[in-house]
Amino acid sequence: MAQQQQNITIAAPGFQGINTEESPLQQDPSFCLVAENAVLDRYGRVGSRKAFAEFTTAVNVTYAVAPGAVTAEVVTHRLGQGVIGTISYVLATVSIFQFDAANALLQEDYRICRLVTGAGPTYTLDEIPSQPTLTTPAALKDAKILSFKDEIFIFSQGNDVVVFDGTVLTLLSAAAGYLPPQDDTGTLAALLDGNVATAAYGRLWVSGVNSDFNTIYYSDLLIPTQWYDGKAAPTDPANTGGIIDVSEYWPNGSDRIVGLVAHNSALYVFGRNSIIVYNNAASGDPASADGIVLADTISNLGLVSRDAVTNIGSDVLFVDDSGVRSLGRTIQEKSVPIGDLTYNVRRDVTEQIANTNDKKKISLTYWPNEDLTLLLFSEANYGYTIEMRSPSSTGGNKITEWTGCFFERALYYEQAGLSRVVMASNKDAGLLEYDGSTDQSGEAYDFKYESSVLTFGQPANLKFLKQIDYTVVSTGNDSLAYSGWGFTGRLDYTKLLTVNGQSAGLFGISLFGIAQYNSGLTRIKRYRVNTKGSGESIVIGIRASILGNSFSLQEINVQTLLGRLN
Amino acid sequence: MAGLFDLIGGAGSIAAGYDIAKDIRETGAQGAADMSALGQQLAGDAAFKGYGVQTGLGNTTVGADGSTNLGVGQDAGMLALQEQMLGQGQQFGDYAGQAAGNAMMDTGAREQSVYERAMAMQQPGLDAQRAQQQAREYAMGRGGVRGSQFGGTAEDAAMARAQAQAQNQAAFGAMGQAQNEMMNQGALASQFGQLGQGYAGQGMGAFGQSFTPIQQQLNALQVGQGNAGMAQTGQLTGAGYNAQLGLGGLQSQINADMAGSQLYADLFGAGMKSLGGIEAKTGGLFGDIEDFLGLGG
Repeated sequence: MAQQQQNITIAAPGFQGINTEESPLQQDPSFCLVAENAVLDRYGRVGSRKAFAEFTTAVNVTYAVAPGAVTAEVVTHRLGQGVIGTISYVLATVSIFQFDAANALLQEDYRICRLVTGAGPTYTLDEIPSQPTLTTPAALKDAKILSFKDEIFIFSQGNDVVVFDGTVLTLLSAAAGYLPPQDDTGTLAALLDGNVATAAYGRLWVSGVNSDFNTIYYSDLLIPTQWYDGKAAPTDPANTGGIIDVSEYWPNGSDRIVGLVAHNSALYVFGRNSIIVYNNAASGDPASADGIVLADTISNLGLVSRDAVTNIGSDVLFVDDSGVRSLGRTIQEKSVPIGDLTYNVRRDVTEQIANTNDKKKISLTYWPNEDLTLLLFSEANYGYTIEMRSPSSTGGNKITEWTGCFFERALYYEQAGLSRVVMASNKDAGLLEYDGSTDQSGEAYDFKYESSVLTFGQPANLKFLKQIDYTVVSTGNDSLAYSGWGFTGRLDYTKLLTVNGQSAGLFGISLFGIAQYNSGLTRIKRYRVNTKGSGESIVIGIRASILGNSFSLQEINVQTLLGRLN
Repeated sequence: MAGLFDLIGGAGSIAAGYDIAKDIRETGAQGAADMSALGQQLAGDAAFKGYGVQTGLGNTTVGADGSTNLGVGQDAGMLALQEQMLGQGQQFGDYAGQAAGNAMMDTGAREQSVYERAMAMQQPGLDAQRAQQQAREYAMGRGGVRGSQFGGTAEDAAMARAQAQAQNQAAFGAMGQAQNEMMNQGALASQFGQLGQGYAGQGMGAFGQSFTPIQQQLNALQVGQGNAGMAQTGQLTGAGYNAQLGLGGLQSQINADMAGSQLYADLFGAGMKSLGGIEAKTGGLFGDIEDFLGLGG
């Protein structure tokens, strides 16, 4: 007797993101195996991400042309933002690589640039004039750019601190009243040449000075030129700058400072394999009796690189070897599994971290306007997005993955009532912006979705897949998409379909009763795909090409015939 | 021819006169000699023969020439005591000098010495306190923090202040100690000086007392002097008697000799006169001689 065709609806497929940790056979269909170049939109649907669109139209730098140079490539490395006076500035460190005809590197130059808004508006990255001479210019590739007290400070390893006052760049040691760390034995450090730094609680905090990653130097309160003065008769009796030596507090015996983060009146000192938490860092004088005090130490959790940490306001997220962790929940619960944001893709993430040769290529950036945090592996041009609105049912956050991430760092900033995320392109494109649906390269990128293995509650029965209906929300241009399905855990079958974008209703052109009216921006349409094949478990997917359009998966209906027990 | 006899008579007068004169002279000479001898004898008899006093302390003699041999020296015991006392006095004087020198020295070096000693005694305790404070600081989680205001932490500064206060107290204590010692040295100098003076005084006293035997002997000598005076008085009286008697005898001798001479002269003169009827003038021949010589008057 023929079985009745069954209709199985997967509402908001994959809205809990990727889950590669739990058994796909028992998995909630709201999880998925693949959500590539996808985000969870405001309606909780899995959809295509925005594009890494062109933002700056040019990078204006000056450099001496090397003999034999045929090509030059500008790579933007690090970004930083600050407000000086009432103007918001975005600074970037760039490298200019010159190659000969054989593509051999001839010369490297390094510059500090600022984002300039032109007419239009158009945006360019312009070199700041009169760049100071640095001992190790190449260290600008991993500079730390901080905003503090109406100036922007650029910390790079082995170099003096570069200060931008809105007009020119100067060296901190050349500033009037500069007082380097010193005591009665002499000057402890002529330059603050570390690149692990943060600006918090009215002070600059720096580590890595003189390549010492167990000591933190903090400046005087609101006086960035004045540092520790331990002389019996200090130059400024009101100086409250100081030093913190953490070497005796590493819970694992020894470590090195990788990152410094201020949060909730505390100073978090991230080592490679441990974390030290100091409370009362916001006190008037950290060395006073009610000043800084060790609150906690966490072993076997650390920070993989300086920029792999971000403060989301209510918590601090950081990248450990085990994935993206949440500091608040980690301290509260003191257990490894909980507070693991990338729990759903834990092994994938740990593998990706372990396989990254240069850990400086790992960064973590919070995009509050997008409600997501991006875990970027710029070495692999790959990233994981962590949805920040709500965790998934497993406790881990909702995860998607991005490809084609040809940028080193991302920066969220606000200016003139606008908020945006810009990215430092490593493909000679200056700054990119996370916006629109057209990548700076002009090439399409693919949105991919693959469901978990679906058995519809009857894993032993054969399923004869008859039809898959995709309810898609799309905008923009028409695009091609490939429906996919399979019975072996892969998408063995595909079928091309055209996803329609916006359809304009034009007076005198569109036909009454025929033309499909919509809001004029978004189209919701069901696409039916006739399928074939059978098996005990089904994987359903879709791949959509994104170039000037968007794609969100509202719903999947599967019409299948349940067969005999197999 | 009167002259020849005169001459002979004169010559004989002369010769006789010469003989008489010679006898007279001899008598005189003899008398002188006897007188001299008597004088010498008397001088010898009256000469101071000295005397002596013998006591239990010693034998004191006064020589004929007046020299005195006391025969008694200073008391050896007292001299020894003097030596000892003076020695001790000198010693205490040296002590006093040394103490005075110490009292006059700059107290700085002594202060430093006392301070270092006090700190050496306190140092283990201070080190223990510092170690405890550091341990406490690390236990509190404040270790490794150094602020410009304090050099370290506020707790470090408090510890440093406490230790500085201890050092200050030690320093002030050392200053006080040094000053007290200086004053003590001064007092000691005074005491030693007084002791030294005392001993010196005792030594001088002993020295003075060492003359007691001498004094006693002199006293005895004085007593003996009286006795010797009496003896000498007897001696001198006897000598006087002897002198008187001697002189008397001598005088008698001389008178006799003179008488004899006179008699001889008278006799001789008579004789001469007999010779020539030569009148002996007062001088007779002698008068002619005198006239011849222009000696007569």
